[in-house]
Amino acid sequence: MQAHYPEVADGASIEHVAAGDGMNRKVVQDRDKGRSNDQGKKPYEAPHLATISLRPEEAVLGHCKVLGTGGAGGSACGFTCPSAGS
Amino acid sequence: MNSNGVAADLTPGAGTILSPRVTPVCNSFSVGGIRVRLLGEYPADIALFPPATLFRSENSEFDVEVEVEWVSDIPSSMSRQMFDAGSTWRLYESELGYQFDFHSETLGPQPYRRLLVDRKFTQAKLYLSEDCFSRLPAIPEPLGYPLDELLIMHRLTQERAIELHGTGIVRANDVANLFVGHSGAGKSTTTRLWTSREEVEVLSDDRIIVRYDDGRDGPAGTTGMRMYGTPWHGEAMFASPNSAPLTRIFILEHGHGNVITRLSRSQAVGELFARAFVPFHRHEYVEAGLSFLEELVGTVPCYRYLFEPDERAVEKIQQFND
Repeated sequence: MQAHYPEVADGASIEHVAAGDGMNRKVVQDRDKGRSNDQGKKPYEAPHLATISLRPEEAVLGHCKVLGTGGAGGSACGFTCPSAGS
Repeated sequence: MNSNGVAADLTPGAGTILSPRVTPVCNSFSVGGIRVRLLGEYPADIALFPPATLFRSENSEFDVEVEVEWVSDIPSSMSRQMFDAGSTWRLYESELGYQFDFHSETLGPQPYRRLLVDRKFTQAKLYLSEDCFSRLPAIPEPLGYPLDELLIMHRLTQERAIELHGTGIVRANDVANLFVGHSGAGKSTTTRLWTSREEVEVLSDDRIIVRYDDGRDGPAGTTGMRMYGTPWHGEAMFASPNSAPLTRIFILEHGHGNVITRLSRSQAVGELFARAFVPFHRHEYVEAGLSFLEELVGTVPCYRYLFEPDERAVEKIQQFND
């Protein structure tokens, strides 16, 4: 899936939300309030959201890491794992 | 298993590791600046397999102590389950703090390992099931994956540190680039491209720990963000116990051409968090990870790198200036 990456300014806040598989996250942009061009600052841009997908199957170490190549358990781990992950 | 990493025979009467008993022994290793001391009754209890042997430490000080003990079997837990990672481990509440149970389809429904650890991840007790392990022709590494990585990952929540899915490449000129990416993003490919073009040290091609160096691990008087190698390597099989001051971070993605785009802090935090190993079962651990990432991206420049997997991808970085 091609993600969309809008420009988000420094100082934007991050809000965690439960959505879908519960692992999605919204980045909330809220910048430059009260600034104006005549001060040489960047113009106001409306806040917008960016959704960043997590990969829980990778993040929680729920699989044998790298079968046959050592990995974290190594080929010497002694187990026959039903599935491999990263 | 003996100190050389040779697996012991558990066949009854075959001179197993369980007899004769020996004086309690200890072993130590350090990953990402976390120093772990192992205590056991038998050498096999505290054995490290390659590449974890590279991380063995002679330092008498430690951050986490793990006492290993064999029991006849480990009953299924009656405690409240906090998290189920799928096929390999589950987390329960315990009086001491946390209880990690490890399962394998090969060894049946009972846990073959159980780790009890306090909430600060400083003291732990690891139980090994004789019943389960006796079904194997050789004894696996007692602290082997995913236990070792889980222990370090959880302990990092108590530090200014985080584990990232990435490859860490240190050039001869001391420029240390961290290429972060999901599985299939090109970490091992990037590693191979760099090692084929110039002399570099690869700290790991899959798991890197970044932490704030308070001067403990670098040259005297130096502080800042530092990246560490880990034993948990990827397809390119690079695992180093070394570390280096972190110069910059690239978020790896396949693309057309080789395009580098500076990320804002909020973008960088989001992208790095999606490629981080953080205990998701407690909000304070997630918050600790996010707080550290905010600190990290405020210190180290972070870029998105859309690349094509050939030599030009390396040349682009070689010629790149912040």
